Amino acid sequence: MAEDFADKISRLASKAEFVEASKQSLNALFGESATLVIINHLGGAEALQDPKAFYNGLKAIFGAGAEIIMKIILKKLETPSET
Amino acid sequence: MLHQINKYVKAQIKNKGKTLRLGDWDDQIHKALAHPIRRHVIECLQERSLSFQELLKSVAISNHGKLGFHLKALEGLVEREPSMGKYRLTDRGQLAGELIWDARFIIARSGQDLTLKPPRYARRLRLGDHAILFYDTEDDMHEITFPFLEAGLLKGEAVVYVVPENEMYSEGQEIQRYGISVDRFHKEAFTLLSAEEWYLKKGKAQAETIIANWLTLTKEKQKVGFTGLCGATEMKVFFDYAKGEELLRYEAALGRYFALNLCGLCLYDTHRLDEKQFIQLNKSHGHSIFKGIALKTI
Repeated sequence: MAEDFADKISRLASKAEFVEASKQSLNALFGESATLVIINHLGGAEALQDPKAFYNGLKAIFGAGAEIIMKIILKKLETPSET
Repeated sequence: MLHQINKYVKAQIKNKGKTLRLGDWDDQIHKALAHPIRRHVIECLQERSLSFQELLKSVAISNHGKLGFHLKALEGLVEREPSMGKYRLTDRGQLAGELIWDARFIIARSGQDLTLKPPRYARRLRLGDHAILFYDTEDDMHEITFPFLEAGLLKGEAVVYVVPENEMYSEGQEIQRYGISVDRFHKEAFTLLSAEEWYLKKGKAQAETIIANWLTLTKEKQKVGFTGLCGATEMKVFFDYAKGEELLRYEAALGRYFALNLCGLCLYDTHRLDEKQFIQLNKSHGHSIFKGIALKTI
């Protein structure tokens, strides 16, 4: 699953776009300060640089919810105009 | 970090000592909290009462004598329950636990470290809070829900656990297995309710009716003398009866926070949710709790 996700991301977007889409998705779901806590919990801004590691990190803290979050991020990358 | 915790705890004890006129017990608490094993014991006992063996396992030390030594040093903060012989925190011990947690929280806010423990977060929810728990397994759900219910009982709230009718017996057993002795409390303190009866009236799930029922039940419990109502409710009944849209309307109508003395933890099996439901349900609650993280969502 993590590999699938990383593969899709690499085909869809650049690293910078992935970082931005991830932050925006987490912000939309949990708010700005909670997003900072989550990213900090995952190991800081570097955690967003590697989609596979990011997925595994999210899985550890959100369980099955990580898959939904990933779908939301992917959707954002597929249709960037949607918020 | 330990140095920072000690520094913070010292400052807080000084302040709380002044405010609460607690006299000279701060020396005792300083001594007790000076050692990481003793702090760890207090943190473990904040979750629930534990036997000596359970404490050994939780604190992860194998030396019985060492644990005995530290338990002796915690005298006044930790005591043994007369009936079960398990160790539990005294009122002072609870305060010590709060100080440790406050210190961790302040350090976390400064971006240095935070061990987020969802069961503890759930215990700290208050009247007025509307929280959501996304769980993957029944065990995960119990691990967070039962401390929440137990904390409600200990705070003098009436507690309601709403579960599907066919799980009422097994959930009652699980609660006992976890160690909540409901007999210790007022006879009306704990109620196990059928989700079908509570949420579905004549096959309908109407937000206004359910909310009115919460209001009535809260008032009834307050009349008896409880400070408010603490409820954990398993929501799968809405999916079992294809009431997904009604569910979203109901949760949105409740709002992120309650204007009444009610604290709610809504329990959702994450596997049953689609993206839209996940997003909307998350937005309808003030606190989101997952297996490994708990967040205030505003």
